[in-house]
Amino acid sequence: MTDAALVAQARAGDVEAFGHLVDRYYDDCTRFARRMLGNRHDAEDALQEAFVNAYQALARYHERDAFRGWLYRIVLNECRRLAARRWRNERRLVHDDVTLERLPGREENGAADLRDQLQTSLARLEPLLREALLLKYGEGFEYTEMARMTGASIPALKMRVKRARDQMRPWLEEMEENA
Amino acid sequence: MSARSWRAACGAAFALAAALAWLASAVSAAPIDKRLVERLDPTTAEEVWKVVEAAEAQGVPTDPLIVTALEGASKHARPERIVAAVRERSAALLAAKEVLGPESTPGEIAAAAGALMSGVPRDTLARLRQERPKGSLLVPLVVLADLVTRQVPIETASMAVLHASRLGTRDADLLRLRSRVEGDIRRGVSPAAATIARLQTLGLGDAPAPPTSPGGSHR
Amino acid sequence: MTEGDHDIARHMAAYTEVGPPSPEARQRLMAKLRRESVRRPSLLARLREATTSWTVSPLLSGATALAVGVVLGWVLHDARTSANGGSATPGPGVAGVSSTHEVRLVQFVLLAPKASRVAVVGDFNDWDPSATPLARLQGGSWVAAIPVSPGRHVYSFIVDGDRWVSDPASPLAPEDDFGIRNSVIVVGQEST
Repeated sequence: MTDAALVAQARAGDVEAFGHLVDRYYDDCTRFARRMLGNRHDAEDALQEAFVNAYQALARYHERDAFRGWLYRIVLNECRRLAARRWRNERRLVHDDVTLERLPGREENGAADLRDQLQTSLARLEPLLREALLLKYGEGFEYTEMARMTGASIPALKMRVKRARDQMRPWLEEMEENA
Repeated sequence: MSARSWRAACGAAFALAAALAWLASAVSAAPIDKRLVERLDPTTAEEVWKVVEAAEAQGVPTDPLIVTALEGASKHARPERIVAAVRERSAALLAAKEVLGPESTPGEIAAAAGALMSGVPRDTLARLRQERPKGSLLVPLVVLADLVTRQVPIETASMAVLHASRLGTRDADLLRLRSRVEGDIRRGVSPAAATIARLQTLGLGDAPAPPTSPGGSHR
Repeated sequence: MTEGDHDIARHMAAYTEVGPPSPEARQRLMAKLRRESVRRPSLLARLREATTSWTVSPLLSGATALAVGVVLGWVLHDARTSANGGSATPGPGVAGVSSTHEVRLVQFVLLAPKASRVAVVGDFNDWDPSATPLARLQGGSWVAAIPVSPGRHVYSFIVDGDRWVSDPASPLAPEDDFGIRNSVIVVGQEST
């Protein structure tokens, strides 16, 4: 059954139909949230909020949008909010994308439970670069969809992905040499 | 008292005792469901209640019989029509219970009875049960009966629902199939052709997919 | 793909190796969603959203073309004390329900702007025309919510006291005992 059909059922009040959508996407979204946030606990919190938000927002979902992209946008926003809350706890105020872009990505230190080489490199990326890289190379989204999800332009997203790659490459090579 | 008088007196006492015993047994029988008493005239209520009691003795769910009578009352049906409807329903429920098996739910039995009353053969119901020995047959039976009611030939409707069940089609997909067939019929497609065409789309599009074409299951 | 892509793709091969999500987290999520479906605010707002965004069936033809049925099945769980110790929070309008059965609140909606009164009748209310009058909303929709047990239910609408209207959006009930076709709704069914 297509996502749109399950959404229709869920909108009619069938929470179990939404449960099927959860079944379909929970694992992938978990993977994304864990790579974004670096630890299981935060990822689970973000997913709880995201799926409940998605359920509440079903009335605003349009069939012309791919459900997966629509859902990931909500997950992405929750990851951003959670990361921003961590920053606020460290007395930093995050107002907008520009500010986010300036924040070094070190929030996982001490809270990370994912410690493979990839995560170590991802953690060092600025959040917006990490987002773009994960959406493109981790989750396989096209740039057009990423633009809808993030609100950024396609050229901006391509630049973020390129910068993420350029930054990560030497870190990963260094880790491989030292392994 | 003479011997003859004594025998007469004993006979009378015996007859009286027998009458009292019969009366006692009659009084101790279950009272007529008060819904029937409130909504039907006394004679019809009693007639219906007899059918209900007989059905209960055969293990047939009785609430559907009572609500059938109440439905008739609300629709101002003639008393004899009400009693006949209850009898027909009772026979169909019994047949449905026999075909579907003792572990069937009341809903399945009621749905199967409806299907039988619309002409679906028992064999189809038995085969449906074989396709889904543990799962609920409620939605397949509802869909099957609906298709037949919309003039889909019984063989075609039966084949469609059996085939869908064999594929492991989810209830929601089966309901969607029904809705689409209904829409096609409204647009002038023959019931049989609509059913076969929509059946062929089952099993496709189960994976996460790009947006569907507009309309979906709402029309 | 450029050489850079190949490098990153190679490193990102480890991307999926995060370990499985905890089943408890998913169960907590579903429990929260089910509670959320009970708490859903503003049924009326949701109803307006649904009736404006959904395409309704065409009006019945001829003299009976006053009423068009749109059944929205709102399933509000009467959450029972679960094995995990969740609390029971009966939804509104579910008073008097046996604690041994799970009951759902089903909302019936009829779009009948010209009607002066509408009732829903069915096996869940003993086909009593006076049991469940629908309330009129702005825009000519009529609505009522009824607690029903899971399973199959047969029902119909009565418009202005004497016009029986089956629901074009629901399956038809095959039983035709009294010459008036009813509709069927299946509540709480689960796919296998």
